[in-house]
Amino acid sequence: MRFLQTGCAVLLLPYTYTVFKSIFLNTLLSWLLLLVVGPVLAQGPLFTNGDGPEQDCGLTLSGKVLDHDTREPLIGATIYIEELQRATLSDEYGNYHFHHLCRGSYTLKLTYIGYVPEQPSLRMASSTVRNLTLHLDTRQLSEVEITGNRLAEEAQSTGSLTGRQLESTRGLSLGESLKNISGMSTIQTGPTISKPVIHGLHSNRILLLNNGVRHEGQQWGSEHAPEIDPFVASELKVVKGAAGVRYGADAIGGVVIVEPSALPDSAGVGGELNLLGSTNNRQGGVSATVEGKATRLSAWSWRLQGTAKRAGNARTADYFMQNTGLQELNFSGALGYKKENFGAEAFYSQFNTKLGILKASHIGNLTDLENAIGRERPEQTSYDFTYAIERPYQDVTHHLLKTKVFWDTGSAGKLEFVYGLQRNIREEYDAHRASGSNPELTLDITTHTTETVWEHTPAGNFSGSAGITTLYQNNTYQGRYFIPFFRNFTAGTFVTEKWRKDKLQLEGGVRYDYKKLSITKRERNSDIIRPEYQFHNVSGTLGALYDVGYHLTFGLSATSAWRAPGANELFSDGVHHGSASYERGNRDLNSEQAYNFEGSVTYYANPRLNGKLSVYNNFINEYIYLAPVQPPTLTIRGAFPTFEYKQADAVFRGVDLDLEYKFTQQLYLESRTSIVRATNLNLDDHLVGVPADRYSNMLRYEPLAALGKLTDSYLALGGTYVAKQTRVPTKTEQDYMDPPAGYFLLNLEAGTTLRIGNQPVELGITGSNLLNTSYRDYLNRFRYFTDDMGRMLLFRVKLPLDFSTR
Amino acid sequence: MSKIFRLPLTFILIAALVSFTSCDDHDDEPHDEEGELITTVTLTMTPQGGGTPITATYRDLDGDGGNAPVMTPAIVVLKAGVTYTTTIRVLDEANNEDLTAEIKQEGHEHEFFFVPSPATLMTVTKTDKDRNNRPVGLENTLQTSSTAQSGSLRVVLKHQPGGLKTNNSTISTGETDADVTYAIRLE
Repeated sequence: MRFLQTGCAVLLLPYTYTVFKSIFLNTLLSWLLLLVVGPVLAQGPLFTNGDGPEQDCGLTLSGKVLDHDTREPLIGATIYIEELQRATLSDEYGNYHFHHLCRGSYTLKLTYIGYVPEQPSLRMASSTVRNLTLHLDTRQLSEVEITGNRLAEEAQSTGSLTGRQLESTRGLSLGESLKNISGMSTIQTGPTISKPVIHGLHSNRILLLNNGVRHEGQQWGSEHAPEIDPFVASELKVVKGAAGVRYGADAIGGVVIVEPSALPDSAGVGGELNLLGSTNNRQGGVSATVEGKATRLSAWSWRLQGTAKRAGNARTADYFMQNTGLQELNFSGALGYKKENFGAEAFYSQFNTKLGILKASHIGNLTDLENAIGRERPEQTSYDFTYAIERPYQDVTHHLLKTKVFWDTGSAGKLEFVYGLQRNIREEYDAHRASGSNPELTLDITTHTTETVWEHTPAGNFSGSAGITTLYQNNTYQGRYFIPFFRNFTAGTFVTEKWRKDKLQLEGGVRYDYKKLSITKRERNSDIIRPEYQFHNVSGTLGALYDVGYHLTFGLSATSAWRAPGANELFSDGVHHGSASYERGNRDLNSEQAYNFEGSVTYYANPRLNGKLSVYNNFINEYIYLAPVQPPTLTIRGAFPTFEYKQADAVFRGVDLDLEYKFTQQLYLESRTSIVRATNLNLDDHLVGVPADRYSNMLRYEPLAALGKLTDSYLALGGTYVAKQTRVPTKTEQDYMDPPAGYFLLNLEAGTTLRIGNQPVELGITGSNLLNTSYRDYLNRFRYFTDDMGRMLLFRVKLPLDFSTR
Repeated sequence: MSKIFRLPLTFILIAALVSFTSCDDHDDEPHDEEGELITTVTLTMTPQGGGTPITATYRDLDGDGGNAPVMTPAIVVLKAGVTYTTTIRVLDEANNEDLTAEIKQEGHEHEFFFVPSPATLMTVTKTDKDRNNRPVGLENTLQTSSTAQSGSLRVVLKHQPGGLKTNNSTISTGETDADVTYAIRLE
C-alpha cells in the first residue's frame, strides 16, 4: 500500500498552486477518489501479477542498436516492448536500456527511419545484454518524413493524440478531443459547438491542417465549429505557438494537424467498425472504414470511410437544455498509386452537420440578457428529451478534394505537389417569427490551395525543404448581412533548414507571404463599394535542441507568424446574436504580427518520472480585439452596448507541464497543467476570454498480462480542475457577467479487448463529470444562459476487420 | 488502361461538381435581405368624449445600427386628466408589411407591457384578450394624471412562446420583440 500514499501526494501536488479554498475541495475529492480505488488496489485480482511472490521484477534489458552491415551504432532508434507498451530510444552511442522488467517473454518492436523494422522476441530470466541489429531499407530510405516515434523533431513544443489516447476520445468533437493535450482548451457555444484553443488563442488565429490541406471555412466565428470528422484521423497533433514559416499566415496561436493513417501497403482488404452510444444526450453513432490493396506488388491502394452520429437534447446536472441536439453524416474516399519513386493520391471527403442551438440563448435585447443572467436556469426547462432540432440551428456542409503527387528524384531530393479544393456552405436558421423554410443566412466559400514543396536530400548534417503555396478563395452570401462578398488571393514562399550533429540540433527558416483581399459590399445607402486591401509580411523561425544526456533535453525556439485582419473584423456591422452587443468592423486595421519565444525541458525514457516543462511568451503586435465604444446603439429593441474592433499590443505567456510518474509497471499517474496569462500592453489590463488555469490528473492502471480472455485492458480514474478566471479586464466593461466559479470534474476511462473466435472486439467506456456537478465554464459563450453538461458515459465498441483469406 | 483511369475520373467529376456549382459570378453583387423585422411602432390615442386623435411613432427604417431611430413627434403632448382609447400598430416598413394582424393572431404568445415614468404619469389598461382570455395590449385605455408634468412611456412587446405566456408572466418573461420609449408632456 505504500505507493498509494505517494500516489496521493503526487496527485495533490499540482493543486498546491491553486487558491487555498479550492485546495480543500480537491483534497477532499482526491481522497474520495482514493477511497474508491484503494480497496480495488488492495484486493482486486486486477492488480496482482499472478505469478506469486517470487516474481522478480528488477531485471534490466540493455544493449546496443547497430546497423547490421556496417556495425555503426544507430542513434535514436525506437525500441518498444509490445507487452508492456514501453518505449525507449537508443542514445548517442546506440545504447538502450529498460529497467524494472519482470521475468517473461517479450516481443520487441524495433524501428528506425530508413531501416526495415524488426520484431525480435526474447525470454528474460535474468538481466540481459542484447545487441539489436537493423537492415538498411533501400526502398524506405527516400521517405525521410515518416511520422516516427522519435522525440523532438523540432524545438517548438507539440502535443499529439494517437492510439489508445485517441481511441478514448472517439465520439467527441475535434475540439473536445484535443482538450487531452496540455496547453489546450476549448471555446464553446452550448454543448454542441466546440472549437480548439491553443495557448489562449483560437478561431482565425490558429490553423487547422486537415489531411495536409489548410482547412478553410468560416473559421473566424467563435460559434463555427471545425467541419472535420475526428474518425478520419489516426493522429491529432498540435503545434503550440506561432508557426507561420512552415504553415503559412494565420498560425499565430498554433496549428492543429489532423492526420489520417497512410493507405495500406500490405495486400488484402481490411478495416474497422466503430459503434458508439452514450447516456445524457443519448448519442448514437457508427463509423466504418474499409481499405485495401490488391496484391503486394500492386501500386494501387484505396480506402472508404463513413460516420453517422445523432444526439438529442443534452442534460445539465438538473435539466435538459432545449434544442441542443446534433446530427452528423460524413464520408470520405481515398485512392493511392505508389511506385518506388513516384506516387499520387486523391482524397475526397464530405462533412454534413445540423446543430441545434439552445432556445434560451435567443434573446431580444440587453434587458433579456440581464434577465437570463439573473435566472438560475433557462426559462423553459420543462422540456423532455427529444432528438428533434428546431430553430435556431445551423446546417453546414464541407467538401474537401485533395490530390497529391510526389516524385522522388533520388539525388536531388523529393518534390511534392498538393492541390486542395474546398467548399463550405453554412446555413443559419434564426428563430424569428413566422420564418419560412429558408435559412436567414447562407455563407458560401470556395477555396483552392496549392502547395509545392521540395525536400532536399540530406547533405552533411543539413536537411531541409523549400516551397511555394497559394490560396484563392471566393466568399458569397445570401440573406441578412454579416460579412461582405470577398475574394482572397494569398501566395507565400518559404525555406527551412535543420542542422543536426551529435547532441545539438539547430533549425531556422524564413517565409514571405503576400495577400490581396478584394471586398464587394453593399452600403446602407445601397451603394456598392469595392475596396481592396494588400498585406505582405515576413515570418521567421529559429530553434535549438540540446541533448545533455541522462535522458534530458533542452529546447529553445523563437518563431513568428502574422495574420491579416479578416473580413468580419474589417466590415462586420450588426447585433451579435446571443451576446446582446452591437459589433462594428474597423476598415483601417493592420496585420497582426506574433513573436513566440519558448523554452522547454524534456526528461524522457526514465523508469519512473518523465515529463516536459514548457514556458512561452507570445508577443502579438497590433492584436485585434473588440473594445467597447460610446455611445450605445439605439434600436427598436432598446439600446445595445457597442463594440468596435481595435488594435493593441498584447502578450500571451504561460506554462505547460506534462508529468508521468510510474508507481509500478502497471500503475502510473498522468498529470497535465496548463496556465496562460494574457495582457493588453497598451491598456495594461487583462484580456477578455482567456482560459482559466487547468489541471488534469489521471491514475492509470494497465495490467501487463491478459486477464483471462481479456487483453489490452486499462482503467483510468482522475479529474480535471479548472480554476475560476480572476484575471478579467478591469479598465473597460467587456462582459456582462462575472466569470463562473472554478470546478472539478471526475472522469473515468476503461477498456479491454476480447476475442470472439478470431475476431478481436475492443470495448471502451469514457465517463465524464461522474459526480454530476453543476458548473459553468468561462469559455462557454452560453454560460449566461445555462449550466454545462452533467454526467455522461460514452460506450464504444470497435471491431478491427480483416477480410483477407490467409 | 481504361479501368485504371475510371476512379481518378470519378474524383475529377466530383471536383468539377464542387467547383463549378460555386463558380465565380464576376461582378456579382450582394443583396441584403433582412428577415421579418419591426421598424415602426405607432400609438394612436383618441380622447374619449371627442377630440383629434394623437399619433406617436417610433421608427428605425434602416434596422439596427446606421441611422438612429426617429420619434415623431419628438415630444407627445397629451392633456392632463383625460382618458385616451389607444391602438398600437406594428409595421415592417422596410418590407412594406403590417405585422399588427400577425401579432393579434399569435396573441396567446405575445403581450405588450407599459412602463410610465414617473409611475404616476398615467395608467394604462389593456382592453383586448387573446384566445386564452389573457390580455394582449394592442388595444388599451390610457388615463393621464391630472397634474401637468413631463415624463415618458416605455412600450415593450414580448414574445412568450411555448407556454411562457401565463396569468403570471411579466415584462421579464420571454424575448423582447420591441422596446421603445416615447417622451410625453401632459398639459
